[in-house]
Amino acid sequence: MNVQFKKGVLELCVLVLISNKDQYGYELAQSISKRINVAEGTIYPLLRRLTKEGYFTTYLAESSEGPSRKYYSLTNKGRAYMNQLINEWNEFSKSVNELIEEVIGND
Amino acid sequence: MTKEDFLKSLGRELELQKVPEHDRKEMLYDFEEHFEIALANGEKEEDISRNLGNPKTIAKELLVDYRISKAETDRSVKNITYAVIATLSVSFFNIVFVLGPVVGIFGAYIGLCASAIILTLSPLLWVISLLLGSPNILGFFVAVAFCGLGILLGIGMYYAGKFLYKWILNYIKFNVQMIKGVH
Repeated sequence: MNVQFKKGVLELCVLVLISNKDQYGYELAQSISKRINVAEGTIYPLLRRLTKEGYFTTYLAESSEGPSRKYYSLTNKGRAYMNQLINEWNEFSKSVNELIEEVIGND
Repeated sequence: MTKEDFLKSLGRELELQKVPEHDRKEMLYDFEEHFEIALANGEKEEDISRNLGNPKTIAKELLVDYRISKAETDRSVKNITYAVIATLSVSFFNIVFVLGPVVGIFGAYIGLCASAIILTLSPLLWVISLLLGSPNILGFFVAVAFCGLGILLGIGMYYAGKFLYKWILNYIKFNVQMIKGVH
């Protein structure tokens, strides 16, 4: 898949995953790279930015195995932003699909 | 690349860009945690590094956000300049779409500021002409009127400067979002 596409939707994926349950960085990287082939390191700058914008809060939690983990949790502001992005994404992908359908589908 | 190489490379890059130690440690922490959990999960250091990607690229992305937030919280010409430069370094695309408009508008702003200063100082020119021995009462009124205009323009420029600062910040943020991580 095109790099530009992937990076653009990475933000949306991260928001959606964290909206479901609080997650730590490694866990997020795993969930994302399972579906999208992306450099996992880029999610950390993204997480920092979204946290700074007030979309996430973070807390450290001990783990039974290994080091303590920094968890990300979605704020109300983050949820509103996520919903906005989802609507935009749905509209955008619908338009593109319709266009493809119209042009190529009728060939 | 081993864990140590990766963290060193990332840390060195951030250090070169003069990110203070406190912020640097915070940025590196995320990656240390990532390595530790991945290692505990049975992954190999080389694989973890490869999946994370190029530390230099990651450093650039961290730097853009750091510079922008610095320019937001601590308003200074130096900080906004750093923020613009960091934005430029993330992609070639930005050299056209950020540098062009920013330099153009900033140039116009400097020009207007210079006009405001010259207009404000115009009574001085009248005083000089007086010393040269050609007292001209009309010239005096013109100079006072220019001075008034200059002060008004100066006040306008003060507010325009604040607005411009915000505009540049929003503009580079918009660009970072547009090209987010595309190299």
